[in-house]
Amino acid sequence: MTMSQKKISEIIIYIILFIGAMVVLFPFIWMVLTALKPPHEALAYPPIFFPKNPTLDNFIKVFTQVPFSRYLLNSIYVSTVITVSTLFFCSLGGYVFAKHKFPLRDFIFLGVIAKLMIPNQVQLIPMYFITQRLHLIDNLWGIIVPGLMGAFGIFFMRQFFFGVPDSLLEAGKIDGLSEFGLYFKIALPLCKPALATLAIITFIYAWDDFMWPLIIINSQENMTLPLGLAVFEGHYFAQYGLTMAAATVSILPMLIVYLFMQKQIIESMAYTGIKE
Amino acid sequence: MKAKTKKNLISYLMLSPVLVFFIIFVYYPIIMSAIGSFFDWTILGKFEFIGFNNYKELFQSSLFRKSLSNTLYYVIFSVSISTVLAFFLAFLLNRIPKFNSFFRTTYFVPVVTSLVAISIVWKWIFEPRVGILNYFLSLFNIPSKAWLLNEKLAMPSVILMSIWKNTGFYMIIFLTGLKGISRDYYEAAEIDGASTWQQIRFITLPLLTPITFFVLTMNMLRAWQVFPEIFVMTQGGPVDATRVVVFDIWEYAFQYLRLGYGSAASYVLFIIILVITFIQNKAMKVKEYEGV
Repeated sequence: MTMSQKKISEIIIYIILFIGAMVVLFPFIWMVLTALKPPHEALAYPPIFFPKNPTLDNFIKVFTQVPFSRYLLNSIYVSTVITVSTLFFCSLGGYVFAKHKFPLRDFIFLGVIAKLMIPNQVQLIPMYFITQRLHLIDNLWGIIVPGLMGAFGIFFMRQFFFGVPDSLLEAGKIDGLSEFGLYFKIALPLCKPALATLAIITFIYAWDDFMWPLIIINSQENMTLPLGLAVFEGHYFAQYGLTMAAATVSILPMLIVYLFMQKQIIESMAYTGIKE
Repeated sequence: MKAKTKKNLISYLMLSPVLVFFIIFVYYPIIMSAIGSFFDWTILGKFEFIGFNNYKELFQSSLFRKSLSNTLYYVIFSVSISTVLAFFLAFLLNRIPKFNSFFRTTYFVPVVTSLVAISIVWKWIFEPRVGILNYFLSLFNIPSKAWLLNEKLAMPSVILMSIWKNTGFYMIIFLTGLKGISRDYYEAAEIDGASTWQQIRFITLPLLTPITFFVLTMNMLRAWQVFPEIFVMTQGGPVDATRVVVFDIWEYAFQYLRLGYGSAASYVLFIIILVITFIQNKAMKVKEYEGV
């Protein structure tokens, strides 16, 4: 290939990728533009691209007609608790599986990772009864409890603890640390990058969880963002300015976090892809 | 001897949260729904052994068969198109010197945005009377379509959205794989006069086989469990055209309260997923993951 041919093919690639990027971004742009329109402009045909009389009415209505800020807080609460708990329990479990020797260890570990092959839907029905028994139906903790830890996190953290040298743990033992101290004070700080990755993955999945909240949450004040949004859309489905404002509000927090941490988020999510 | 027992006890003590959690919240439900799938089990406390009747009824039910074939249709097209597209984009992205991270960031945006929110946005794009998609098509003199309200087009529309949502994720995985292939191979091939297509065919694809296989199986596992977008965009309609297996499980169990029947349906899904994972493991020889 000559130099100029190479240049031409590069330009073609840029054009294709640029068109692709437009297709990816268009729904977001259209969502925001629609959200800023008064009803008659939103439903105009042929469509008006840029709002002639931009208004924030839709956004105000989203927050005043339904407890949208409550959904947002619930989502932050649920996702944060699930993430913190997953980090703690999965790293503890992963550490014990990697660094301790005890009877049945490999058998128990197999039992944990076998869950990776079992779809969550299989657990749904009995989980409902367990949640009922715990009096957590229509309660945020009913969403949190099944997410307290997960098989992937344990598997993932175990891989990293293998990399912690035994000599460091021996040294800690001589310094008089307990077994829990060895995990918490020596091994855990060495696995910070892994913890960050696990935190990102867990938070994103918890944030987007829909089916389980749909099953156990009934009242408005206990809904998380995806559920509240779906219910809202059901009530106001023909009022597109309004539903687009609600969608914008739901997407925005994650999008802002993504723009600040894009590199880490992409790498973390790709990691699950490659290693899971 | 004593010291060893004590050490084991400490290990079990540290592992106890994991043990308790997995017994109560993972294995008890899995076993319970396996048992329940052989019972006529209702929310009012009825629990009567009926053998394989739930499974028999499932496979005799034209509705469930329709859900299975709809899901299969979704899996085939959503998975194949998004995988090919992801490879294609990754390949292009790997060949340009500049703006790499801009495109990566952009293509990945749908992956991190809420599925429910984005399903609502696409519902608006697909709107039959004043939707923007019909408007764009009208510019090319293509007549308006009812998309999500049309029996034939509803599933393709949902598939289109799934491709838009998921391709970026698989693209990143392909890109990681492509970065691992040394430039030397391509340079050597170029000296030998190999065309771009020949380079893809004889260098890229063979070296990427494990990743491709991986993307395919992951993508399939995702696709078999499709639910929130169906719930938001079509509720399984029109005329059950987008009914999928997980939608059925949800409806049997939590709308009709037929818990045994729902459990049986969830086990059918489980077996499908098990078969896919089994094929994946066979082909990938997962041994490489053990230890570091």
